[in-house]
Amino acid sequence: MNTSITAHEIELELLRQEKAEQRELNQSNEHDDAVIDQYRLIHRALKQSDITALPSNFAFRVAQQVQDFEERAQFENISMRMTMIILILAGLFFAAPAMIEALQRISATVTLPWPMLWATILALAFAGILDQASSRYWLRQR
Amino acid sequence: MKDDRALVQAVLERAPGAFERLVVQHQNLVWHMVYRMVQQRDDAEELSQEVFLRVHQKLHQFRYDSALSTWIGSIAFSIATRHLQRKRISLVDESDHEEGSLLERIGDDFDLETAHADREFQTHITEAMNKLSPIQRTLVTLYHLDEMSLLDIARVTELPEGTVKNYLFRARLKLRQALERKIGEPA
Repeated sequence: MNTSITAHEIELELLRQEKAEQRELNQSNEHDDAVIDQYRLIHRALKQSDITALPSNFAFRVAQQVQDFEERAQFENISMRMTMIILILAGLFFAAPAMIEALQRISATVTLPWPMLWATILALAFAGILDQASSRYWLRQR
Repeated sequence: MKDDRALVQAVLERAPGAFERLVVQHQNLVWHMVYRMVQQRDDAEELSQEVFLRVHQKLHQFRYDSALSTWIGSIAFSIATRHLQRKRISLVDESDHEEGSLLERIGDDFDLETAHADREFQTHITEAMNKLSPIQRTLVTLYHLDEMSLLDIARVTELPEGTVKNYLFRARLKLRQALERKIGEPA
C-alpha cells in the first residue's frame, strides 16, 4: 500500500473521476478501467441517497408556524399601539388643562406667528405620513 | 428565475399558500444539506424549520442575484454550520486537506452491474459517507443528489470553487477506498 500520493497519481485519479462522471452521464458501456467503474458505482449510489425522508407534513407545519408567528407579532403590534394611544390620551386628558393654561400665558407674552407654526407642524406630519406610505408601497412592490 | 420572482412576490404579498409552496419547492435541498451536516434527525428537523423561518423573515432582502434555491441553501448552510460550531464539531477533518494515503489499485474483475445491484453495497456507501467530514458529506450530497453546479455550491457555502472541487475529489476518493476495503483487496 502506498503511503502518499504523488501529483501524477492525483491527476490520474481526478481524470478517472471525471471519466466516470462523463460515462455515467452518457450511459456508456465502456468498462476498460475497474477504478472508473468503481467511481461510476459511487455516482449511482449517491444519486439514490438513503437520507431519512422529511416528515410528510413538514411544509404545512412550517407554514403554520410562520402564520402563528405573524399573528402573534400582529397581536403584539396592535396591543402596543393601543397601549400607546391610551397612554397619550390619558396624558392629554390629565395634562390638557394645565397645558392650555400654559400655552395661553405664553401666547399672551410671546408674539409668535401661531398660524404659520401650526401650518408647519401639519405639513411635517403630512410629509411623515407620505414617507411611511411610500416606503410600505415600495416594499410591497419589490 | 422568473418563477422565483413570481413566488417571492406572492409570498411577500401574503398570497394564501404561497409560503407553503416555497417550502415544498426547497425543502429537499434544505433537508439534505442540514441532515448531512448534523446527522441527527431531530436536530435536522428543528434546524430546517429555523431555516424557513429565517427565509420568511429575510425574503424581502432577496435581490435575485442568484437563484432562490442558492440563496435558501446559503441560509441553510450557515444555520447548520453555526449549530455544529456551537456543539464544537469540526466542519472539516485534517485529512480533507492532506494528501490521502490509501490510493490502491483494484483488480480488473470488478463487475459494475453486480455491485450496483448489491444492497450491501448501498450500506457500505452509507457507512463510508457517515465517516466523511460534515463539509464533505454536504458537498457530495449537493453535487450528486441535488445536482447543483460547482458554482452554485461555491455560492451556497461561500467556499472558493477550487476548494469545493478539492473537497469533492477527496470525498469521492475516500468513498472509493472505503468501498475497496469492503469489497476486497485488489487481485
